[in-house]
Amino acid sequence: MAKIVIDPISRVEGHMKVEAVVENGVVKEAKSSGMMYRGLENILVDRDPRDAARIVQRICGVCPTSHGLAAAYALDEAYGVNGNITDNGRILRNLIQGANYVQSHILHFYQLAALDFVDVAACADYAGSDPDLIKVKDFIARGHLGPFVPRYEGDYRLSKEENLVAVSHYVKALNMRRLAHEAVAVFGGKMPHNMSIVAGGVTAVPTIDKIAGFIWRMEQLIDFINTYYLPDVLMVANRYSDYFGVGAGCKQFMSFGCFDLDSDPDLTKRQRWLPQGIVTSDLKLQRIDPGKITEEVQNSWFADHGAQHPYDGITIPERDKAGAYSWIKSPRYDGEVMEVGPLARMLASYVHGDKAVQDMVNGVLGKFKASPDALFSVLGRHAARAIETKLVAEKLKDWALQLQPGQPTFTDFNLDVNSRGMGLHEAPRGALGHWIVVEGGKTRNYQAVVPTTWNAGPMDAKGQPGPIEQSLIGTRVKDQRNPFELVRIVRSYDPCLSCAVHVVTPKGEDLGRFVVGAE
Amino acid sequence: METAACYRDSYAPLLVMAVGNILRMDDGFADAVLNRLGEYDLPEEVELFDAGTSAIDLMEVFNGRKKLIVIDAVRGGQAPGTLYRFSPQEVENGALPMNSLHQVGLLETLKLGELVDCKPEETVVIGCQPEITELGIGLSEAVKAQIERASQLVLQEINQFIESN
Repeated sequence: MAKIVIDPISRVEGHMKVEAVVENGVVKEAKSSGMMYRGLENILVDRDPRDAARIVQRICGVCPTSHGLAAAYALDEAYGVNGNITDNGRILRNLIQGANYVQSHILHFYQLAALDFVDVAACADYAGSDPDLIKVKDFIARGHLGPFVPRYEGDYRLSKEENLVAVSHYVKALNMRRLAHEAVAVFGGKMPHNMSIVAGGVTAVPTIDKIAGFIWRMEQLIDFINTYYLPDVLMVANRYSDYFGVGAGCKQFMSFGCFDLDSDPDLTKRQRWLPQGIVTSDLKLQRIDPGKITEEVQNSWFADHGAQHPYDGITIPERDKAGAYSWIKSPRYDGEVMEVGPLARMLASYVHGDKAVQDMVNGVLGKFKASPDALFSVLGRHAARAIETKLVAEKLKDWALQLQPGQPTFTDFNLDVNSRGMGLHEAPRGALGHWIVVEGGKTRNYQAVVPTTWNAGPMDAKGQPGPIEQSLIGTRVKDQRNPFELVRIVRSYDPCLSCAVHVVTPKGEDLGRFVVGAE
Repeated sequence: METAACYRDSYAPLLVMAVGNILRMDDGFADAVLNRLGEYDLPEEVELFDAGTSAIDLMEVFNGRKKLIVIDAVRGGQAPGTLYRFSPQEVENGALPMNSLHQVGLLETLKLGELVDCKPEETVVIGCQPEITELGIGLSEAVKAQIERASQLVLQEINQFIESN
């Protein structure tokens, strides 16, 4: 019996540790641990509730946009303005969030996940004239591998030529995500940490030149997605097609739904372009009852008060708690484990009957002669993310043309309330819920249940492991020193535990020689 | 397909960028310095930018800059409140080990930026040793006491840049 420990696993962001106990080459037990304390919600207590939409964006450097919007949805309800969001406000929120999806998914595939499949070392002896590949070659020659590690050795299956093509697309993708990032900022006001997302709508005003600038960017992104992103995912799928059978997980999926099509005050009834729902392994869709969401802390380093709904959630750290192994809580729906993310959203749309999603998904499955349960896999997650990127980018262009310059984007409201609000939303990485309790115009309680909490949470009181843990258990590991299977599974979820301190620590060096002396 | 051009026609040649999480006490050092600098009537060649916690998103704000001044909390093994001044080149001597603990922070982003020609011609980091990086809003006394001095250091950098350009 051997124990494989991978720490940290998130290539670019956050602090995640995975421990897998391997017996006869197969994972018998798996523990996914978040190694950083969160509980940032405590900072919001006793503040002006509107501060939430600004402060929660600082929780995370990766999805500030989604946190800002989830907070805005919760505040809409708390201030009673949830039924009166203008069409412009609704559409602008969709555009800001949608552009962020495009940015985040491109970043995930190329910068975070692709290097588990693509061998960047193929550039080490590159002799051609592609300036991007020459730059990567120079990086490697100088030993500047920072963005390309951690990595394992061995199971890279693309041909030399395919590796070179993929690495050059890695560099192209850096430029493309910059462009998507600009698209977020057109109406978000500023990236990172958007200024325009507020309770009651959006403060940005749609003008003809902004609409044109947004669509201009989206056109180029659609071109990139069709010409590079989708084909590259298929190229990887071709060489690693066994990964349609690896990393299935809990086979139960949840989406809160995203991209509002109306302003129904009840978020569970609001029409959303990507529908809400629970999808079971037999591909049945059920409506969500948010009252059934609870969080448990049996195996988390928090004081245990049993399963609690987020409105009543308590976050008191208990660092020495026996048996606990994570700073992440265990969220459950009706006591059940749920996977969240692009795969959950695409499955909900697929089962709901969205023709575009069905055509794209069936097209991919047809290419690999696979049945829909092949979607419950590492490659299923990558394919769902790529398909979603394309469909969202195309939809954004249509929505941008529905904006009405000169019409209002914001609806005013009364600040003096004693109330509650629930913000159900979908971040690129999955279901995101914010819950606020307001008393006397001040925040009394605030809880955010984030996508990676659903996916990477620890075992619950009933002994059910979290989705990532379930994906790992039963996996055959060919080479325990290079556990490719495990990192590929974990990264297919796009885990993000970046609620980190961004203190620059240059290799932990003593910087005494750079001290600025007294004047 | 050609790489898209950036959407702005021109960029202020000198970018002063604050990095850090204001929800982590002393990690809000840079934000405090940026606010102090905002009180000055700065030359038009200068842009102040609050980058928050999103390092990898910074590549495009590096585009087209002559000089980048980064303000950040820096762990350099000295007493809390100690100020540092260094360039990224000065701290990246030697190769990174293959499996180093890391996330794509500022230094990695500057390197990724090289791949897409989004690298300032010159970068300098003005840092301050944090005392407390627990959750919360507000600075420790040791760090707070250095805001004025750090602001002056940034102003010196700005003046040198203006004089030599």
